[in-house]
Order: sequence, then C-alpha cells, then structure tokens
Amino acid sequence: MTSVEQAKQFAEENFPHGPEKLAEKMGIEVRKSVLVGCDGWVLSGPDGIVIRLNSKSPVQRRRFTRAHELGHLLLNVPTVVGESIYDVLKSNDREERDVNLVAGELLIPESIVRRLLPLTPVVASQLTKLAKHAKVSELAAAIRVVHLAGEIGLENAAVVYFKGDVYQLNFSKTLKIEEEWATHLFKEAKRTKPNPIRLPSGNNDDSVTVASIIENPRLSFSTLFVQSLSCEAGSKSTPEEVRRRLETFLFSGDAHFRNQMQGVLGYFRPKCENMTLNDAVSEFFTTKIHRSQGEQLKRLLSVQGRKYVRMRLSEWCET
Amino acid sequence: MSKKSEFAPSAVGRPPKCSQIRADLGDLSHVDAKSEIDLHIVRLLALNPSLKVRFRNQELASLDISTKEALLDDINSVLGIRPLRKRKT
Repeated sequence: MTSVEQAKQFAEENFPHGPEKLAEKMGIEVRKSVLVGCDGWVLSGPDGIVIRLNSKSPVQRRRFTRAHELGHLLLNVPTVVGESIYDVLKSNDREERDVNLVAGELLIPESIVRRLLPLTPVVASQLTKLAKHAKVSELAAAIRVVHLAGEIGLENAAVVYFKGDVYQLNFSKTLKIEEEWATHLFKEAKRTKPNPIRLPSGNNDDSVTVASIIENPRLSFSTLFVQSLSCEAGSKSTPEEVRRRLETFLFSGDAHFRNQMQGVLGYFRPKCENMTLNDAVSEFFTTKIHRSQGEQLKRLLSVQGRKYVRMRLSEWCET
Repeated sequence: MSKKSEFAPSAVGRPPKCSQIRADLGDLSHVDAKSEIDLHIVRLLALNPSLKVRFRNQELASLDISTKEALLDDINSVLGIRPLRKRKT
C-alpha cells in the first residue's frame, strides 16, 4: 500500500495527471457508468480495488471524485455511498475533511500553488488560471488555496457558499467571517464582477477585505473567495486588473485593433517558448508592429502599450 | 435494515460475545434497506467488513436501480464472486 507522503510526491512528479497515474500505479480498476444519487465510491477487497465514477459528471468533477476516493483508500477511511460533491464539501466529519485535504494535495501540489499564486491579493481570475493549469474546477482550486493560505504566505483566505443569495456556510482555517458581512460582500462582488470588491474590513485597523465571485457553472450554489489583508497588500492591483486597465487604454473600444493584436500575439506565441522575455519583447517590436499605423501605433509604442505587450509575452516566455 | 432480515439486531436471547461484534456492523444494522437488492448489498457488506462502506443518511433510497447494480457488481468483483460457468457438454 502506498503511503500518503509517497502518493503526494508521486502526484507532484506526475502533475497534472497525478490522481490518474496514481490509480494506475496502485493497480486500481477505474470504472465509469451513469450513477444517480452519488458521484462515486471505492471498494477494496481480496480480488482487487475498484473506483467507480459517474460518467455523467463533468471531467473536473470526476477528477475530484477520483482523487477523493484515492484519499479514502490512502487514509483507510470508509467510503460513503450516496454523497454528492456538495455533501463532500460541506461535511463537518473530520475524516471526510482529511480525505478532501489529501484529494486536494493529489490534484494541486503545494509547489504549483506557490508558483502560480506568489502574491496577495488572490482573486477569482487567478483561481481560474490555477484551475485550468491543474485541470480542476475553480472551486477545487479555491479550496486548495484556502487550505494552504497560512502556510504559503497568503496570510488568510476563505470560501463562502451561497444558495441563490442566501448564505450557507464558510470554509477557512485562517479567516472568520460573519454571515451578515459575507452576504454584504457577496452582493457587492456580484455588482463589480469580474473585478473583485475591496472594502474596509471594519476592524479597528486599516485592513481591507478583498472578495470575488468564483464561477461554478455546473453546481447549484455560488461561492465567494475572501481575503482580509493589510491596506497595502489588499490595495495592490492583481495582474488581471492591470491587464484590463492597459487594454482599456490601448484599444479603447477599437475592436478591430484588439482583434488584430490578439491575432499577432497568438501568431508570435510559439516563438516565445525558447526566448527570454527581453529578447521576445525586442523581437516583437522589431518585426510585428508594422501593421499598426497612426494612433494605434502611437498607443502601442507608449509606456502602457509596451507594458501590455511585455505582460502578455511574459506568460509564454522562459523566465 | 429491514426487521425481516437475519442481520437485524436481536433484542432477545443470550448477548453476543465481544469478539463476535464487529465495529462496523453497527452502522450497517441501521441502514434502511427496502428492496431485495438493498438487502443483498447490505448482507454482503456485513459479511465482508474489510470493504468499509457507509451509506449517506443510512439508506440506499437516493440511489437508482442501475447505481445499486453497479455497486453490487463492484462488490462482487473485489470479493471475487463470479457467476458459475455452464459445464461444457
């Protein structure tokens, strides 16, 4: 039997396919069929181990269930038949929470979270990127960050669940949020979506609460990601906010110019893989701006224009 | 579990020895099993405690028949229970 530590290391080495490869390594047969009333189970007996998954569930949810059932197996905790993902997430049962923690570690190793979310504040758009990278749902990514927040220098974080606009519960090891405050944040964050909302925390200090809505298109509940940070940390713009500001300046309603730039950047992307950022920026401005003229060229060559190009290329270049 | 089942807790007779009581049987003895397939699943699980299965809300009512069949199929599989082959004539 594989230990939890060995499993975590194996999952990190095989990221983002850790749970799949681990199941394979452990000789587990994974079966899929349409299940009604539950997302899956794991059974271990003298003739082998079987994990059953609901073939009707979305891919990310199936990945979470697979990792969750592996967690049951690794921790030697009985599987629970009849649970939905919402039951799993809201469970107060300590064993179930431990299982979820292991599932999160298999799906999104700590090193990945540290690399992709080095700074505060963390907002929903960054969680979306993390989720895409790890091939998990935004909610699974958010919960993983909440688990790790205190350990990786993100100070604190919480996920709050709502059904409709009604508060259900919140989940955090590092941040306590009252129902009334959470409901207010949710309403405000809905108004400013996709941008996060920043509000004074109301404590007797200068802390700022940063909240943003996490998309759960396939689940029946909404979630809010919340951090309470010092004024300095909480007021910093996220990379997505900076990018949106630069795009507003650069394109300012000029859809044709925007589409043209997207095309040029997309065409240039493969070249970036073996280039340093400085080389890529230099190459881009030498070879790719001839299509732009007049006001467009002026904006592209401005400080903001250069910053925008640099920001986009930095996603694809070697560090 | 149904009172008709031979696995229902007994209130009469000599109490069982401690060594005969399995820790997980308590959970299963409270599972609400309403159909033959429910009973069959619960019996198999009670007889094989190493499978370690619990049911949400102690009932199988939230599962449809094909889900129960899949569960039974998996239980049989990991326990090595297979249908008898027909003898070749």
